[in-house]
Amino acid sequence: MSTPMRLTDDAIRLALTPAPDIQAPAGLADGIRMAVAATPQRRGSILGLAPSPRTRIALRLALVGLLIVALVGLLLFVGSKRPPTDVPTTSTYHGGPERNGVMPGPGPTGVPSVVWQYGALKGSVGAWSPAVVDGIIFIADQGGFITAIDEQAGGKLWQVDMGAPINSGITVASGVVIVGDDAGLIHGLDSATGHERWLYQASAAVHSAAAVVNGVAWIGSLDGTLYALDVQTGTPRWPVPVITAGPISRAIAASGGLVYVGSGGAAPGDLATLQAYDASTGLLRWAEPLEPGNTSTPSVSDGRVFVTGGLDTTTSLAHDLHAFDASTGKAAWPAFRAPTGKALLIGAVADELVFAESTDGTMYVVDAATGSLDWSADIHSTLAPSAGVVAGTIYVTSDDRKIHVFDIASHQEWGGPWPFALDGALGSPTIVDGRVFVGTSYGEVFSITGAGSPSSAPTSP
Amino acid sequence: MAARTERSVGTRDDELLERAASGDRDAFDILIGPRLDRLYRMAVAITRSEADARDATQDACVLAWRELPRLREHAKFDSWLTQIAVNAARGVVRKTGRARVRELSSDADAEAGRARAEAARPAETDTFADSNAIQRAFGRLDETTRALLVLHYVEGAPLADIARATGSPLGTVKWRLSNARRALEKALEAERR
Repeated sequence: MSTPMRLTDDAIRLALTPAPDIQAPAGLADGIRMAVAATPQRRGSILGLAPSPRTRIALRLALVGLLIVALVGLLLFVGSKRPPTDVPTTSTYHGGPERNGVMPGPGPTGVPSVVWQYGALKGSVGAWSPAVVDGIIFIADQGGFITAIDEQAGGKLWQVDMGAPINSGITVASGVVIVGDDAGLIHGLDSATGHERWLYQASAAVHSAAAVVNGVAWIGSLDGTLYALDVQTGTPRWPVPVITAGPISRAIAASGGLVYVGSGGAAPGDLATLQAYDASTGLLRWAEPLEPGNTSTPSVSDGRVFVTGGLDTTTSLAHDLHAFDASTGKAAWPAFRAPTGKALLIGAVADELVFAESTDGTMYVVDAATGSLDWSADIHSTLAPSAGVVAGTIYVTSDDRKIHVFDIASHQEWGGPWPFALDGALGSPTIVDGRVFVGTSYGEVFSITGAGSPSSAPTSP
Repeated sequence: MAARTERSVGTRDDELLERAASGDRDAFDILIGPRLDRLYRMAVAITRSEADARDATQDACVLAWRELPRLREHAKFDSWLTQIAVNAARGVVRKTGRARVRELSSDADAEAGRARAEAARPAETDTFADSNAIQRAFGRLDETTRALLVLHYVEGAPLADIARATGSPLGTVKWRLSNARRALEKALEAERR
């Protein structure tokens, strides 16, 4: 009886590689010569005639002319059929490169209902939000697939296997979908077809989300390397990538010509830093050390950048909320910490308020100018909630599998048919065109709308 | 660095390609000559049969000759030729429908295989038997899986090149390669029962 063998790469290579002395048999070259002699080449010429070089040039010129005419016609036709250019767009995680959770909206009001439910993702969407550009929803899942879904009908437009789990947020810019994977590959896909435009091998797994500034996508990897890649070609903007202070596992933020990177890790001794780089030179503008541990995605709003730092050992998330001057890095106020000391995530920054969501189940609403607590609300979440703000309203996706909605001015949660329950742990919401789009841990995407008079909401709980 | 490994042809090859694409059969002959052994060995690896490999290599070369005027980027000649050769080998396997163990069972070949195995791992006396088992298991696989394993393990082609050669997205190639390896493991288990 034979013993089981281990199928190693070397064993496969050894077994499948033909012996080095195997060569093409003597008669093969002659056989090919004879077959080639009897085979005409395919020229693709008109009626099989071989045109002279002059005729060929004339034909090419004529063809080019015809193509130009056709292209102009096509552009005119497409231009006449295109929807207005102010179609709401949320091209990346958390509303835009500022990552402040402010959405184009409008959001759904009245009685909520599911417009469509797409259930053929290949894994959980994690905490990331879908990108919505030109009527298409782009979403990545941990099964390693990118899926494009029609915003109105919920039908799949394309789905592409990246071959490795995706724990990176998706960004769409200038017709290119940018996402990283656990194998350390950063992919640039054609947003219309899903075909690969370019590929870049990073030095470690990519759990970040790209921020695009002037045609350059900034994205980080888990070994702390920050890459600046041309959106159209994937070519590095500078020969040497930027080496930052620690692992990058959060989205990169950008605003006003600066790129903001929070680096830190889940181990107690990991250095945590917030850094700002000049997007046009790649040089460090300023860096502020945070309490050792993890960081959140930086959020930029009204000349300030907000981030959490430190380490809540229960969740491996950060617990101190900081605010810095976006240009200089000067601290705006002492760190805010939840009374329970639990982890804090930045759900949104809007209306001069920071909506810091804690794993103690509370949303702490902090004055963005002073760092003092303005008000708080129960959001029933002990994991990693997220949020989106639309015109005085904040939509919170909570791990009680519900979407909670608060009126910011009155601090009141919408009642009646809200909160709206869904299946599975919810990712971050994207709110455009009267709908909330959200992915779940069950590999589903929901499109939720509201019907009836907005006056039916809010109502007091 | 971006994972781009396009194999480019030299200036001499470029001239030959120009001439061959214009119908010069001698130029094509000179172009193919140094590549013939590589193409043949790859076909042997996929088909596990010298006769089938011979047919596949000839089919590939004739097809390359016929289609050469349509190849716009001469720098991509080698990966284009590899793609044609892989497809030809797959086509022969599909056509013959034979899941046969390699025909290369002459004494000389067996000796060569044993010598390679011993040279590679002198301490392991069962390497040759393992190689034979893997070869038989490989013979159970379909033509596409075989081609993928040969491109990766025998040709050492980077995944991006395989994606181009097979016309698949890179992610799909990685996924298929992982499946191909699993299929080989299953076939090996079946072979050893």
